[in-house]
Amino acid sequence: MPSTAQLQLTDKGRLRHFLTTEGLPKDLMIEIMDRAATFLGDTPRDLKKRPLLKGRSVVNLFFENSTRTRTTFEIAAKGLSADVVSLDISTSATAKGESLLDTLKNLEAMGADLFVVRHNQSGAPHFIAQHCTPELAIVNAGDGLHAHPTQAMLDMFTIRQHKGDIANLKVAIIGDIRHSRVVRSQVHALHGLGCQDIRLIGPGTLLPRQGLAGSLHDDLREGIQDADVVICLRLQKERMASALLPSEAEFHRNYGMTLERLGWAAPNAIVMHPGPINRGVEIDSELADSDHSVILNQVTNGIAVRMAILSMVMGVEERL
Amino acid sequence: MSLASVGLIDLCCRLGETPGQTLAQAQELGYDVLTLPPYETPPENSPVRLAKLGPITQELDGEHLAEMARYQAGGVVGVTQGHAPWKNTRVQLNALRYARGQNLPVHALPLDSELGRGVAHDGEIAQRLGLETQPSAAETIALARDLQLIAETGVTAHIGRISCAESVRLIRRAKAEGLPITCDVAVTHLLWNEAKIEGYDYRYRLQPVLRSEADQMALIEGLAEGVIDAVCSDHTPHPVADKRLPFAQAAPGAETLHLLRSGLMALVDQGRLTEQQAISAVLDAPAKILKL
Repeated sequence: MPSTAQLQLTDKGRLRHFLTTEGLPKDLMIEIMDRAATFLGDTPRDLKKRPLLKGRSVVNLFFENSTRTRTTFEIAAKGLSADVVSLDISTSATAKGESLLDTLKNLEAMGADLFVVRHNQSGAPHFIAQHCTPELAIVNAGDGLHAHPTQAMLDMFTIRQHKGDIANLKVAIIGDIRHSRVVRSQVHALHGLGCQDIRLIGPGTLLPRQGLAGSLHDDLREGIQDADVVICLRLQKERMASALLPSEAEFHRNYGMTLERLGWAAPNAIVMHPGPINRGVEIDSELADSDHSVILNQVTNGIAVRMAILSMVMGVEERL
Repeated sequence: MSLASVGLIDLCCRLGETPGQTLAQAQELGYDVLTLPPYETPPENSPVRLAKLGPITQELDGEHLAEMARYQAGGVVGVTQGHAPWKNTRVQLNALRYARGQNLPVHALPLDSELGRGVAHDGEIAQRLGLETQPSAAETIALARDLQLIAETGVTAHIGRISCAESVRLIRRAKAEGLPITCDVAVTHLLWNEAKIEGYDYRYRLQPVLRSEADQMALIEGLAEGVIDAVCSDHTPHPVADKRLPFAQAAPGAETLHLLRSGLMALVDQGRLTEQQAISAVLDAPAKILKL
């Protein structure tokens, strides 16, 4: 079977779907970021709307709850003048026992151009891309533990915006590396953009055993030493219930980022978080609200990056 | 006698939703005997000889002993818990002791129920695909416990469907110490490894999972060396609607009746097994295990 990286590209190497940052050619990643930059204004309210997808219909297909990601996709699609419908499938069709394939065929018959898919099963967007009609494009908005490629691209965009060429940076990611689709996509993107120094930091139970580019650290200080970018991840409460961590407090004691600890990183290091943040767990309020934090930039950038990706998978080739 | 013409004796085959078709296919492919797990319901006039395993606990609940003597009177060749979990080790010990008293062989499929929940081998590919992983320890922990209890009770035991190098090592050691056990591997695990699940290929979602290439090679070597006695099809037909799903949701198991003979022939052609070893793995060894 084709890998996810192969499935998302056309014969000519353009984006047919957007499923993963793994194996995504560097020039496409740069094109996404360059295109996203053209949508940004001076302030979040100045996002530049362009009618690039007028008459096209985008369906947000969320099999897993997510208000934030779904909303940013909606704003992005509307910013391109697409018709947008959002379906919360977690509470409708599949709950009645309808198979994923049947749900898909029904929605196809309603005539959509693009599905934005979030699903709790790794590989579900890949599965949908394999079985849908060739006219339909699929954008992965997060699948299981596998990938969250639009989040990773908005993170790359934010890093480039603040720190310049990613190839020369030291990037530290802290938290539940093992169960994070965000990290998998970030690491693939960083690696693809030439970053040579990626550190993955967390307790042994939350680190992968193998399979990701980057060095593994269970010591925070060692991991963030001289880092230019520090990315904190949201700690899920389930991790305590499944005996992976004793408590949030202990996680904070060992791995929580504070303004003081940021002193171990490079001067002018930036702090990022995919949101929503647990204040006082993975990051202190004082740091989250400081000048080092670019967390709110990430949110605004997320809309511009998603506009870029939606327009590219819809085949809008116009150089903007 | 050649591998191409030998009548196959299969230590594990499930009939699926259309038992008649499965049996007809088995007949056409030259199977002489199929061993069925508990609760399979074959049609009355099977064209292929059937050997049936009974449950060792009621409805495989892992808690209450099954009426093994009744099953034995009904003609079962052994009893098994399959991959279903045991409630606790005391029930397992009692069950093996009771089976020993009935002179019933036990077919053990070692798998720790908690570690066994993962859907792919704990290796680089599953980590990358974001699939819940099943470490080899899911099998070896259960296997080590099974071996201890087999030694403790003296029951006649067969270990089915091992999947990793460490299990080959444990079986080799147990045999060397004189424990009278036999062992089989599914043909799928001799032919394939975890690389097959790339692209979330649900056809290769199996239980136990496909492991690393090193594990695959160790299983082939274990067979050539005689640590592993037999090879079975582990045929598991599912309706397409249960299989064509995102990887972790796909029902585990594949239709593999056609692979047992052809797979072993391929291994013989590659020089990994002698033809005599391959024939023994699907004829002499399973006949002896089933006391045919």
